[in-house]
Amino acid sequence: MEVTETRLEGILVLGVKGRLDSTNSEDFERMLLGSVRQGENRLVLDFGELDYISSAGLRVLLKAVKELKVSDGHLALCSVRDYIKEIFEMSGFVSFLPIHSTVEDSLRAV
Amino acid sequence: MAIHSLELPATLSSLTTLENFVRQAMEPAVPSPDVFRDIRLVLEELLVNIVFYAYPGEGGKVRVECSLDPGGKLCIRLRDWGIPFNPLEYPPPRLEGDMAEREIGGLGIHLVKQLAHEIRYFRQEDSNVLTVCFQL
Repeated sequence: MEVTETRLEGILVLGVKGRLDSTNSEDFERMLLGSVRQGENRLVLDFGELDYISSAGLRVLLKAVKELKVSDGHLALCSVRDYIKEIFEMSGFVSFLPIHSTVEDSLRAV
Repeated sequence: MAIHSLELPATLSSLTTLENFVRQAMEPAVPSPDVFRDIRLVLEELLVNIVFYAYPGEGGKVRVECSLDPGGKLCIRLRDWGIPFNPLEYPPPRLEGDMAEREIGGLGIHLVKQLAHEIRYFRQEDSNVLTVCFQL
């Protein structure tokens, strides 16, 4: 897993590449929740190059959404591949974690 | 059909070896590699369960066996010698309703149930035996 940080229109965009699984979800949690705790309350995750996610990765997203709710923050996903979108649907995450087709759409939504 | 088997330490770092073993053993017989995406996820979720629930706070081993029957059913059997743990009895996560009430756990086994066509558990003497099958 590789994470790149970009700031677009003042919003932090994290691009996640590779696999997000139980062997690296703790690293991802430190990164994502670290940003939230530093006061970032509008975040976009660009999953365009993410090719795998397991429940360990989903749990990190759920934790982030819960923390952001407290500070009235928002998290959006974009460019999610079809197979990974199916995992989000199976998990019921699509009901609270919006998925957009492009980064631009996500930026407008958060 | 031959049964391929391998024994590994029950740790998260065995994940890649486990996946590669199943892929290499089954790939020649599998018509579409797409099924390996589901298999990969199922293997991870089941291994994580064994590491955390069958062997909490201690090490152990896991044995994997895989086979393909003439009807095109690919089955993977995972056996561990940890404490009795039947993941099928794990309460399902709440998928509806308020996100704030959403449980953090239970998602992994939920995904396994969605992705595998068959899933069976039994306790055999001092081991947990979980079998998942995929219809190709």
